[in-house]
Amino acid sequence: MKKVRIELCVGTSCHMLGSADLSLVVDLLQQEYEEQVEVGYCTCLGACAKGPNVKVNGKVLSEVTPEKLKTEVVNILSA
Amino acid sequence: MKWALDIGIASIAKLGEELCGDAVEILKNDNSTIVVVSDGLGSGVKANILATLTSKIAANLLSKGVVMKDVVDTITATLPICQIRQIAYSTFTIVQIFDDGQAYLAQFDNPNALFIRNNEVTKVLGTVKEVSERTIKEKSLVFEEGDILIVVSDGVTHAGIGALKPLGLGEEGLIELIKTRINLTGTSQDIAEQVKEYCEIYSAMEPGDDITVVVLKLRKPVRGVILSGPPLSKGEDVRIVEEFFTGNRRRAICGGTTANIVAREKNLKLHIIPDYCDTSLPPTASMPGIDLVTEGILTLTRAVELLEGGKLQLKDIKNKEDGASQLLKWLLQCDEIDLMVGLRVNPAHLTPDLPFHLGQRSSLLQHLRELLVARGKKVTIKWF
Ligand code: FES
Repeated sequence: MKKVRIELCVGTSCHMLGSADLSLVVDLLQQEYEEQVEVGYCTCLGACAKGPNVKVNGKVLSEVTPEKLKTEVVNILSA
Repeated sequence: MKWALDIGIASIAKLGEELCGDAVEILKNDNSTIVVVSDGLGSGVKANILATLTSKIAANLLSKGVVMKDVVDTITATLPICQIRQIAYSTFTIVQIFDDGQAYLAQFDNPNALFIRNNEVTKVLGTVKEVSERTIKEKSLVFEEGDILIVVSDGVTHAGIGALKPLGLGEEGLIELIKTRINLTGTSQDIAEQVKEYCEIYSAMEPGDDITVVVLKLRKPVRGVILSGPPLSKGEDVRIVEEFFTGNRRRAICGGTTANIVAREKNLKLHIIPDYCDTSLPPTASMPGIDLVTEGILTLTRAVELLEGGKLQLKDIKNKEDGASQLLKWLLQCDEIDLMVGLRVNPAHLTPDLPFHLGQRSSLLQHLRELLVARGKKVTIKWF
Protein backbone atom coordinates (compact mmCIF):
# COMPACT_ATOMS: atom_id res chain seq x y z
CA MET A 1 0.00 0.00 0.00
CA LYS A 2 1.42 3.38 -1.02
CA LYS A 3 1.67 6.10 1.61
CA VAL A 4 1.90 9.86 1.53
CA ARG A 5 3.20 12.05 4.32
CA ILE A 6 1.93 15.62 4.08
CA GLU A 7 3.33 18.42 6.18
CA LEU A 8 1.33 21.60 5.90
CA CYS A 9 2.91 24.89 6.85
CA VAL A 10 0.48 26.98 8.90
CA GLY A 11 2.98 29.75 9.70
CA THR A 12 2.19 33.45 9.40
CA SER A 13 3.05 33.92 5.72
CA CYS A 14 1.62 30.65 4.50
CA HIS A 15 -1.54 31.43 6.39
CA MET A 16 -1.83 34.79 4.65
CA LEU A 17 -1.29 33.03 1.36
CA GLY A 18 -3.97 30.40 1.84
CA SER A 19 -2.94 27.47 4.00
CA ALA A 20 -6.37 27.37 5.67
CA ASP A 21 -7.85 26.26 2.34
CA LEU A 22 -5.17 23.62 1.97
CA SER A 23 -6.04 22.23 5.37
CA LEU A 24 -9.56 21.53 4.07
CA VAL A 25 -8.09 19.59 1.14
CA VAL A 26 -5.88 17.69 3.55
CA ASP A 27 -8.96 16.74 5.61
CA LEU A 28 -10.74 15.52 2.50
CA LEU A 29 -7.77 13.46 1.36
CA GLN A 30 -7.53 11.92 4.79
CA GLN A 31 -11.18 10.95 4.74
CA GLU A 32 -10.83 9.41 1.31
CA TYR A 33 -7.53 7.58 1.71
CA GLU A 34 -7.55 7.08 5.47
CA GLU A 35 -4.30 5.60 6.75
CA GLN A 36 -2.59 6.00 3.38
CA VAL A 37 -2.37 9.71 4.12
CA GLU A 38 -0.45 10.87 7.13
CA VAL A 39 -0.69 14.54 8.06
CA GLY A 40 1.48 16.86 10.10
CA TYR A 41 1.68 20.62 10.56
CA CYS A 42 4.60 22.97 10.93
CA THR A 43 5.15 26.66 11.53
CA CYS A 44 7.60 27.58 8.75
CA LEU A 45 9.39 25.81 5.94
CA GLY A 46 11.66 28.77 5.21
CA ALA A 47 10.13 29.69 1.87
CA CYS A 48 7.55 32.19 3.09
CA ALA A 49 7.40 34.42 0.01
CA LYS A 50 6.48 31.44 -2.13
CA GLY A 51 3.76 30.13 0.15
CA PRO A 52 1.65 28.42 0.85
CA ASN A 53 4.20 25.67 1.21
CA VAL A 54 3.57 22.00 1.77
CA LYS A 55 6.05 19.18 2.23
CA VAL A 56 4.88 16.05 0.48
CA ASN A 57 7.00 12.97 1.12
CA GLY A 58 9.92 15.19 2.09
CA LYS A 59 9.77 17.48 -0.94
CA VAL A 60 8.76 21.12 -0.40
CA LEU A 61 6.10 22.28 -2.85
CA SER A 62 5.56 26.04 -3.16
CA GLU A 63 2.67 28.26 -4.27
CA VAL A 64 0.42 25.31 -3.69
CA THR A 65 -3.21 25.61 -4.66
CA PRO A 66 -5.89 23.21 -3.41
CA GLU A 67 -6.06 21.55 -6.87
CA LYS A 68 -2.29 21.22 -7.09
CA LEU A 69 -2.11 19.57 -3.67
CA LYS A 70 -4.87 17.14 -4.44
CA THR A 71 -3.38 16.16 -7.85
CA GLU A 72 0.07 15.70 -6.33
CA VAL A 73 -1.19 13.37 -3.62
CA VAL A 74 -3.53 11.42 -5.87
CA ASN A 75 -0.74 10.98 -8.42
CA ILE A 76 1.60 9.52 -5.83
CA LEU A 77 -1.03 7.18 -4.48
CA SER A 78 -2.10 5.92 -7.87
CA ALA A 79 1.36 5.70 -9.43
CA MET B 1 1.44 44.32 44.06
CA LYS B 2 0.53 42.39 47.17
CA TRP B 3 -3.12 41.89 46.32
CA ALA B 4 -5.20 42.14 43.19
CA LEU B 5 -8.74 43.39 43.09
CA ASP B 6 -11.24 41.33 41.15
CA ILE B 7 -14.04 43.68 40.07
CA GLY B 8 -17.48 42.65 38.82
CA ILE B 9 -20.21 44.99 37.63
CA ALA B 10 -23.76 44.15 36.64
CA SER B 11 -26.43 46.71 35.93
CA ILE B 12 -29.73 47.13 34.19
CA ALA B 13 -31.81 50.22 33.42
CA LYS B 14 -35.30 50.80 34.72
CA LEU B 15 -37.93 49.30 32.44
CA GLY B 16 -38.52 51.58 29.47
CA GLU B 17 -35.26 53.53 29.83
CA GLU B 18 -32.37 52.97 27.52
CA LEU B 19 -29.77 54.52 29.73
CA CYS B 20 -29.05 53.43 33.25
CA GLY B 21 -29.16 56.29 35.73
CA ASP B 22 -26.43 54.66 37.80
CA ALA B 23 -22.78 55.00 36.87
CA VAL B 24 -19.71 53.09 37.94
CA GLU B 25 -16.24 54.51 37.53
CA ILE B 26 -13.06 52.58 38.15
CA LEU B 27 -9.66 54.22 38.26
CA LYS B 28 -6.37 52.64 39.12
CA ASN B 29 -3.33 54.61 40.07
CA ASP B 30 0.07 53.41 41.19
CA ASN B 31 -0.91 51.87 44.48
CA SER B 32 -4.69 51.89 44.71
CA THR B 33 -7.96 51.29 42.93
CA ILE B 34 -10.80 53.76 43.22
CA VAL B 35 -14.34 52.62 42.57
CA VAL B 36 -17.23 55.07 42.55
CA VAL B 37 -20.85 53.98 42.27
CA SER B 38 -23.24 56.84 41.73
CA ASP B 39 -26.99 57.02 41.34
CA GLY B 40 -28.38 60.15 39.64
CA LEU B 41 -31.67 61.72 40.58
CA GLY B 42 -34.53 60.23 38.57
CA SER B 43 -33.86 57.94 35.65
CA GLY B 44 -32.88 58.05 31.99
CA VAL B 45 -30.55 60.56 30.35
CA LYS B 46 -30.68 63.19 33.06
CA ALA B 47 -29.91 60.72 35.83
CA ASN B 48 -27.21 59.16 33.72
CA ILE B 49 -25.47 62.51 33.23
CA LEU B 50 -25.65 63.34 36.94
CA ALA B 51 -24.31 59.95 37.93
CA THR B 52 -21.57 59.92 35.30
CA LEU B 53 -20.38 63.38 36.26
CA THR B 54 -20.37 62.49 39.94
CA SER B 55 -18.44 59.29 39.52
CA LYS B 56 -15.92 60.73 37.07
CA ILE B 57 -15.23 63.82 39.16
CA ALA B 58 -14.89 61.80 42.36
CA ALA B 59 -12.62 59.15 40.90
CA ASN B 60 -10.35 61.60 39.13
CA LEU B 61 -9.94 63.96 42.06
CA LEU B 62 -9.35 61.18 44.56
CA SER B 63 -6.78 59.52 42.35
CA LYS B 64 -4.90 62.83 42.36
CA GLY B 65 -4.89 62.90 46.14
CA VAL B 66 -7.64 65.49 46.70
CA VAL B 67 -9.29 65.06 50.13
CA MET B 68 -12.86 63.86 50.46
CA LYS B 69 -14.29 67.18 51.64
CA ASP B 70 -13.02 68.97 48.55
CA VAL B 71 -14.24 66.17 46.33
CA VAL B 72 -17.77 66.46 47.71
CA ASP B 73 -17.62 70.27 47.44
CA THR B 74 -16.59 70.05 43.83
CA ILE B 75 -19.32 67.56 43.00
CA THR B 76 -21.97 69.74 44.59
CA ALA B 77 -20.71 72.84 42.84
CA THR B 78 -20.42 71.21 39.44
CA LEU B 79 -23.57 69.19 39.04
CA PRO B 80 -26.26 70.81 36.93
CA ILE B 81 -29.33 71.77 38.92
CA CYS B 82 -32.61 70.03 38.22
CA GLN B 83 -35.05 72.55 36.68
CA ILE B 84 -38.06 71.08 38.44
CA ARG B 85 -36.70 70.13 41.84
CA GLN B 86 -34.08 72.88 42.03
CA ILE B 87 -31.45 70.49 43.38
CA ALA B 88 -28.33 68.94 42.04
CA TYR B 89 -28.37 65.53 43.39
CA SER B 90 -26.84 62.16 43.05
CA THR B 91 -25.93 59.64 45.69
CA PHE B 92 -22.59 57.90 45.71
CA THR B 93 -20.38 55.31 47.31
CA ILE B 94 -16.65 55.74 46.98
CA VAL B 95 -14.20 52.97 47.71
CA GLN B 96 -10.46 53.30 47.57
CA ILE B 97 -8.52 50.08 48.08
CA PHE B 98 -4.76 50.10 48.31
CA ASP B 99 -2.55 47.28 47.10
CA ASP B 100 -1.79 46.27 50.68
CA GLY B 101 -5.48 45.76 51.52
CA GLN B 102 -6.10 49.07 53.33
CA ALA B 103 -9.42 50.50 52.24
CA TYR B 104 -11.38 53.68 52.69
CA LEU B 105 -15.11 54.00 52.10
CA ALA B 106 -17.35 57.05 51.84
CA GLN B 107 -21.07 56.64 51.38
CA PHE B 108 -23.67 59.25 50.66
CA ASP B 109 -27.30 58.17 50.61
CA ASN B 110 -26.67 54.88 48.82
CA PRO B 111 -27.71 51.63 50.52
CA ASN B 112 -25.01 50.50 52.96
CA ALA B 113 -22.19 48.56 51.37
CA LEU B 114 -21.88 44.95 52.51
CA PHE B 115 -18.64 43.41 53.67
CA ILE B 116 -18.18 39.65 53.53
CA ARG B 117 -15.48 37.68 55.31
CA ASN B 118 -15.68 33.89 55.65
CA ASN B 119 -19.32 33.94 54.49
CA GLU B 120 -20.19 36.37 57.30
CA VAL B 121 -22.10 39.30 55.81
CA THR B 122 -22.03 42.65 57.63
CA LYS B 123 -23.22 46.14 56.78
CA VAL B 124 -20.52 48.77 56.49
CA LEU B 125 -21.99 51.58 58.56
CA GLY B 126 -19.12 53.97 59.28
CA THR B 127 -18.96 57.21 61.19
CA VAL B 128 -21.27 60.02 60.22
CA LYS B 129 -19.63 63.24 59.11
CA GLU B 130 -21.00 66.50 57.78
CA VAL B 131 -19.25 67.48 54.59
CA SER B 132 -20.49 70.47 52.58
CA GLU B 133 -23.90 70.19 54.24
CA ARG B 134 -24.17 66.59 53.32
CA THR B 135 -24.08 63.65 55.65
CA ILE B 136 -21.36 61.28 54.62
CA LYS B 137 -20.57 57.96 56.28
CA GLU B 138 -16.88 57.19 56.36
CA LYS B 139 -15.16 53.93 57.18
CA SER B 140 -11.66 52.50 57.07
CA LEU B 141 -11.25 48.78 56.56
CA VAL B 142 -8.44 46.34 56.09
CA PHE B 143 -9.10 43.70 53.47
CA GLU B 144 -7.68 40.21 53.62
CA GLU B 145 -7.50 37.59 50.91
CA GLY B 146 -10.98 36.41 49.91
CA ASP B 147 -12.80 39.38 51.47
CA ILE B 148 -15.67 40.72 49.40
CA LEU B 149 -17.31 44.14 49.30
CA ILE B 150 -20.67 44.58 47.60
CA VAL B 151 -21.92 48.04 46.67
CA VAL B 152 -25.41 48.45 45.21
CA SER B 153 -27.67 51.24 44.06
CA ASP B 154 -31.08 51.60 45.69
CA GLY B 155 -32.63 49.84 42.71
CA VAL B 156 -31.40 46.67 44.40
CA THR B 157 -32.88 47.32 47.84
CA HIS B 158 -36.11 48.52 46.19
CA ALA B 159 -36.29 45.53 43.88
CA GLY B 160 -39.63 43.78 43.96
CA ILE B 161 -41.79 46.73 45.00
CA GLY B 162 -45.16 46.24 43.42
CA ALA B 163 -44.16 42.75 42.40
CA LEU B 164 -42.72 39.80 44.33
CA LYS B 165 -41.46 41.86 47.30
CA PRO B 166 -44.19 44.40 48.05
CA LEU B 167 -41.96 46.32 50.46
CA GLY B 168 -38.85 45.91 48.39
CA LEU B 169 -35.95 43.55 48.98
CA GLY B 170 -34.43 45.88 51.58
CA GLU B 171 -30.94 45.68 53.04
CA GLU B 172 -31.86 42.77 55.31
CA GLY B 173 -33.40 40.95 52.37
CA LEU B 174 -30.26 41.51 50.34
CA ILE B 175 -28.11 40.11 53.15
CA GLU B 176 -30.38 37.10 53.37
CA LEU B 177 -30.21 36.62 49.61
CA ILE B 178 -26.42 36.73 49.65
CA LYS B 179 -26.21 34.30 52.57
CA THR B 180 -28.60 31.76 51.16
CA ARG B 181 -28.59 31.91 47.39
CA ILE B 182 -25.43 33.46 46.04
CA ASN B 183 -22.37 31.39 45.33
CA LEU B 184 -19.61 33.52 46.79
CA THR B 185 -16.78 31.33 45.54
CA GLY B 186 -17.22 32.51 41.95
CA THR B 187 -15.55 35.50 40.32
CA SER B 188 -16.75 38.98 41.20
CA GLN B 189 -18.52 39.19 37.86
CA ASP B 190 -20.42 35.95 38.57
CA ILE B 191 -21.50 37.23 41.98
CA ALA B 192 -22.63 40.59 40.58
CA GLU B 193 -24.63 38.90 37.80
CA GLN B 194 -26.30 36.51 40.23
CA VAL B 195 -27.48 39.35 42.52
CA LYS B 196 -28.72 41.38 39.56
CA GLU B 197 -30.66 38.41 38.20
CA TYR B 198 -32.43 37.86 41.52
CA CYS B 199 -33.41 41.54 41.55
CA GLU B 200 -34.86 41.19 38.08
CA ILE B 201 -36.84 38.15 39.17
CA TYR B 202 -38.19 39.93 42.26
CA SER B 203 -39.27 42.75 39.94
CA ALA B 204 -41.05 40.22 37.72
CA MET B 205 -38.54 41.17 35.01
CA GLU B 206 -39.82 44.74 34.97
CA PRO B 207 -37.38 46.72 37.15
CA GLY B 208 -38.96 49.92 38.50
CA ASP B 209 -35.57 51.53 39.08
CA ASP B 210 -32.02 51.31 37.76
CA ILE B 211 -30.23 48.37 39.29
CA THR B 212 -26.45 48.27 39.78
CA VAL B 213 -24.37 45.76 41.65
CA VAL B 214 -20.61 46.14 42.07
CA VAL B 215 -18.56 43.38 43.64
CA LEU B 216 -14.96 43.73 44.77
CA LYS B 217 -12.95 40.75 45.87
CA LEU B 218 -9.38 40.69 47.07
CA ARG B 219 -7.24 37.87 45.77
CA LYS B 220 -3.65 36.94 45.10
CA PRO B 221 -2.46 38.53 41.87
CA VAL B 222 -2.18 36.17 38.91
CA ARG B 223 1.12 36.55 37.10
CA GLY B 224 1.74 35.66 33.51
CA VAL B 225 4.60 35.80 31.04
CA ILE B 226 4.42 35.88 27.26
CA LEU B 227 7.38 34.96 25.08
CA SER B 228 7.13 36.34 21.58
CA GLY B 229 9.88 36.39 19.01
CA PRO B 230 13.34 34.81 18.94
CA PRO B 231 16.27 36.76 20.47
CA LEU B 232 18.45 38.88 18.18
CA SER B 233 21.46 36.68 18.71
CA LYS B 234 20.93 32.97 18.33
CA GLY B 235 23.37 32.31 21.16
CA GLU B 236 20.80 33.75 23.57
CA ASP B 237 18.13 31.13 22.85
CA VAL B 238 19.02 28.96 25.84
CA ARG B 239 19.19 31.83 28.30
CA ILE B 240 15.89 33.33 27.16
CA VAL B 241 14.06 30.03 27.35
CA GLU B 242 15.46 29.44 30.84
CA GLU B 243 14.28 32.87 31.93
CA PHE B 244 10.84 32.21 30.46
CA PHE B 245 10.50 29.20 32.73
CA THR B 246 11.48 31.00 35.93
CA GLY B 247 9.03 32.12 38.60
CA ASN B 248 5.57 31.09 39.57
CA ARG B 249 3.84 32.45 36.47
CA ARG B 250 1.40 31.32 33.85
CA ARG B 251 3.07 31.00 30.47
CA ALA B 252 2.05 31.70 26.88
CA ILE B 253 3.98 31.79 23.61
CA CYS B 254 3.04 33.95 20.62
CA GLY B 255 4.98 32.92 17.56
CA GLY B 256 5.67 29.74 15.61
CA THR B 257 9.43 30.11 15.50
CA THR B 258 9.51 31.03 19.17
CA ALA B 259 7.46 27.95 20.03
CA ASN B 260 9.89 25.79 18.06
CA ILE B 261 12.85 27.23 19.94
CA VAL B 262 11.23 26.48 23.30
CA ALA B 263 10.30 22.99 22.16
CA ARG B 264 13.87 22.33 21.02
CA GLU B 265 15.61 23.75 24.10
CA LYS B 266 13.29 22.07 26.59
CA ASN B 267 12.79 18.91 24.60
CA LEU B 268 9.04 19.39 24.64
CA LYS B 269 6.59 18.35 22.00
CA LEU B 270 4.87 21.11 20.03
CA HIS B 271 1.53 19.91 18.80
CA ILE B 272 -0.34 22.09 16.30
CA ILE B 273 -4.09 21.87 16.73
CA PRO B 274 -5.42 21.83 13.18
CA ASP B 275 -8.76 23.22 14.18
CA TYR B 276 -9.69 26.39 12.32
CA CYS B 277 -12.31 27.98 14.55
CA ASP B 278 -11.73 31.14 12.58
CA THR B 279 -10.08 30.70 9.20
CA SER B 280 -8.77 34.26 9.22
CA LEU B 281 -6.28 33.30 11.93
CA PRO B 282 -3.65 30.56 11.97
CA PRO B 283 -4.38 27.62 14.30
CA THR B 284 -3.07 27.42 17.85
CA ALA B 285 -0.82 24.73 19.32
CA SER B 286 -0.18 23.04 22.61
CA MET B 287 2.97 22.33 24.58
CA PRO B 288 3.30 20.69 28.00
CA GLY B 289 3.57 23.25 30.79
CA ILE B 290 2.44 26.16 28.59
CA ASP B 291 -1.10 27.51 28.86
CA LEU B 292 -1.30 28.69 25.31
CA VAL B 293 0.73 28.67 22.10
CA THR B 294 -0.39 30.88 19.22
CA GLU B 295 1.02 32.21 15.97
CA GLY B 296 2.67 35.63 16.36
CA ILE B 297 1.97 38.72 14.27
CA LEU B 298 -1.52 38.02 12.93
CA THR B 299 -2.86 36.80 16.26
CA LEU B 300 -1.32 39.69 18.19
CA THR B 301 -2.65 42.19 15.64
CA ARG B 302 -6.16 40.82 16.07
CA ALA B 303 -5.89 40.80 19.85
CA VAL B 304 -4.78 44.45 19.82
CA GLU B 305 -7.65 45.37 17.49
CA LEU B 306 -10.18 43.72 19.78
CA LEU B 307 -8.77 45.47 22.84
CA GLU B 308 -8.60 48.85 21.17
CA GLY B 309 -12.20 49.94 21.73
CA GLY B 310 -11.67 49.54 25.47
CA LYS B 311 -15.08 47.92 25.76
CA LEU B 312 -14.14 44.27 25.38
CA GLN B 313 -15.31 42.05 28.23
CA LEU B 314 -14.49 38.48 29.05
CA LYS B 315 -18.01 37.36 28.31
CA ASP B 316 -17.80 38.68 24.71
CA ILE B 317 -15.13 36.13 23.90
CA LYS B 318 -16.06 33.43 26.39
CA ASN B 319 -17.13 30.94 23.72
CA LYS B 320 -14.56 31.81 21.07
CA GLU B 321 -11.60 29.52 20.60
CA ASP B 322 -9.54 31.26 17.90
CA GLY B 323 -5.97 32.22 18.84
CA ALA B 324 -6.66 35.91 19.48
CA SER B 325 -9.70 35.26 21.68
CA GLN B 326 -7.83 32.62 23.65
CA LEU B 327 -4.93 35.01 24.09
CA LEU B 328 -7.24 37.78 25.30
CA LYS B 329 -8.97 35.48 27.77
CA TRP B 330 -5.58 34.52 29.09
CA LEU B 331 -4.42 38.15 29.33
CA LEU B 332 -7.59 39.39 31.02
CA GLN B 333 -7.24 36.73 33.69
CA CYS B 334 -3.75 37.94 34.60
CA ASP B 335 -3.07 40.90 36.89
CA GLU B 336 0.64 41.21 36.21
CA ILE B 337 2.03 40.41 32.80
CA ASP B 338 5.66 40.21 31.72
CA LEU B 339 6.22 40.54 28.00
CA MET B 340 9.46 38.97 26.79
CA VAL B 341 9.97 40.14 23.24
CA GLY B 342 12.62 38.89 20.85
CA LEU B 343 13.53 41.17 17.97
CA ARG B 344 15.02 38.68 15.50
CA VAL B 345 13.00 38.75 12.31
CA ASN B 346 12.37 35.58 10.36
CA PRO B 347 14.76 36.03 7.40
CA ALA B 348 12.15 34.46 5.17
CA HIS B 349 9.85 37.37 6.04
CA LEU B 350 12.36 39.94 4.89
CA THR B 351 12.29 39.16 1.20
CA PRO B 352 10.74 41.96 -0.82
CA ASP B 353 8.71 39.33 -2.69
CA LEU B 354 6.36 38.86 0.22
CA PRO B 355 3.05 39.92 -1.30
CA PHE B 356 1.68 41.54 1.87
CA HIS B 357 2.93 43.65 4.72
CA LEU B 358 3.43 42.21 8.18
CA GLY B 359 3.25 44.55 11.16
CA GLN B 360 6.28 44.92 13.38
CA ARG B 361 6.38 42.80 16.48
CA SER B 362 7.97 45.52 18.59
CA SER B 363 5.33 48.17 17.89
CA LEU B 364 2.52 45.64 18.28
CA LEU B 365 3.70 44.57 21.71
CA GLN B 366 4.32 48.14 22.76
CA HIS B 367 0.74 48.91 21.83
CA LEU B 368 -0.56 45.80 23.55
CA ARG B 369 1.22 46.88 26.69
CA GLU B 370 -0.45 50.31 26.62
CA LEU B 371 -3.88 48.75 26.16
CA LEU B 372 -3.33 46.34 29.04
CA VAL B 373 -2.07 49.09 31.34
CA ALA B 374 -5.22 51.07 30.52
CA ARG B 375 -7.14 48.07 31.80
CA GLY B 376 -5.34 48.20 35.10
CA LYS B 377 -2.79 45.44 34.44
CA LYS B 378 0.78 45.78 35.61
CA VAL B 379 2.86 45.14 32.54
CA THR B 380 6.61 44.92 32.08
CA ILE B 381 8.30 44.56 28.73
CA LYS B 382 11.76 43.26 28.03
CA TRP B 383 13.42 43.36 24.64
CA PHE B 384 16.28 41.11 23.61
S1 FES C 1 5.43 30.49 6.95
FE1 FES C 1 5.25 28.84 5.66
S2 FES C 1 7.21 28.75 4.85
FE2 FES C 1 7.41 30.35 6.28
